[in-house]
Amino acid sequence: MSNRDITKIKLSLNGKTLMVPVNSTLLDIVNLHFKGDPLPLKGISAAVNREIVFRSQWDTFLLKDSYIIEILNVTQGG
Amino acid sequence: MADSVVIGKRNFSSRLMLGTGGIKSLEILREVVTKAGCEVATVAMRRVDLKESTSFLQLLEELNVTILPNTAGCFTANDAVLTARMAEDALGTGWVKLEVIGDEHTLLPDSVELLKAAEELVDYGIEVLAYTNDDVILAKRLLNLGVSAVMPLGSPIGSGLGIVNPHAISMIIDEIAGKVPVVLDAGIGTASDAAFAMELGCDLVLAASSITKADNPILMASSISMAVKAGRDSWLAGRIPKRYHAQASTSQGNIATWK
Repeated sequence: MSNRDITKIKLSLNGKTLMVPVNSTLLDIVNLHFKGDPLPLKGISAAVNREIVFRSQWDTFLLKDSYIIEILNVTQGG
Repeated sequence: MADSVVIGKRNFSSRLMLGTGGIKSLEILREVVTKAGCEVATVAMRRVDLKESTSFLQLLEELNVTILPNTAGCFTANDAVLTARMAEDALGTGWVKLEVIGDEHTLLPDSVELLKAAEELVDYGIEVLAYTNDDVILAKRLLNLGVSAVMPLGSPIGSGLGIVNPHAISMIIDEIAGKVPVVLDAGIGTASDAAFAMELGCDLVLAASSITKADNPILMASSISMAVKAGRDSWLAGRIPKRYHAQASTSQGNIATWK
């Protein structure tokens, strides 16, 4: 019998492995990533499995095991 | 009459765009933008600290600079399109400087991937300012795809070599200028390079490393800004044709004879 914790799923967030509760939304992960700091209105974006997830969908976008998430924000460059 | 330039739906009076890559501090960025009078500044999308990102963005907004997201660091059309769309979701600017790089050594644009990405982003309704090789045929292809500006390189990114093939840039200007703006991007090393670009007929210059990595970025920004203005004025004034032989500027008639 597997010892796997069925209450959690494994994700990749910006290249690092992360275990989070089942039914976590993308917004949960964004908040976790930024350690609960208030999110600015602009400057952040997220993609899951190489598909953009618009900010307006973060709070309803349910994550599944093995999803690959990228959270990017604006910085100097170009 | 103001000598303004239109890119897509936007109108600018400054013809110098600032690439912010490599800027050493926000204080320097503030001074650079102020001294150079830049109205457009590029940004990138990266995995960075939220506070750092927020402070940077707040400063650009405070300076009333139009933010131009770019896809720096993308090596495929798919990556560039995804990054551009993420930037659009993050900022809602409606435009992007599209870079699709061929390899890490040369940092030259990958023309095949660039065309694919440009087509897709134009279809998404994003105004594309395409960073491209100094290739007139490619520039025409980009124009036909509906890009809002063509941005040929003067020389490789960060090289500071200036415009290594002015003839190629002139050919692009002959074909493209008047249809969409031509922005000389990459390779500017110092003020004279920027002046030369404008004297050739470029509509704008984008300077990044030449300013951000100068010993005195603020002074260099001011210098390049003046050079862009001087070059533009020279272009508008109309330079004299180049001649193989000398031609006297003073009338040859009514000359005294000493015989």
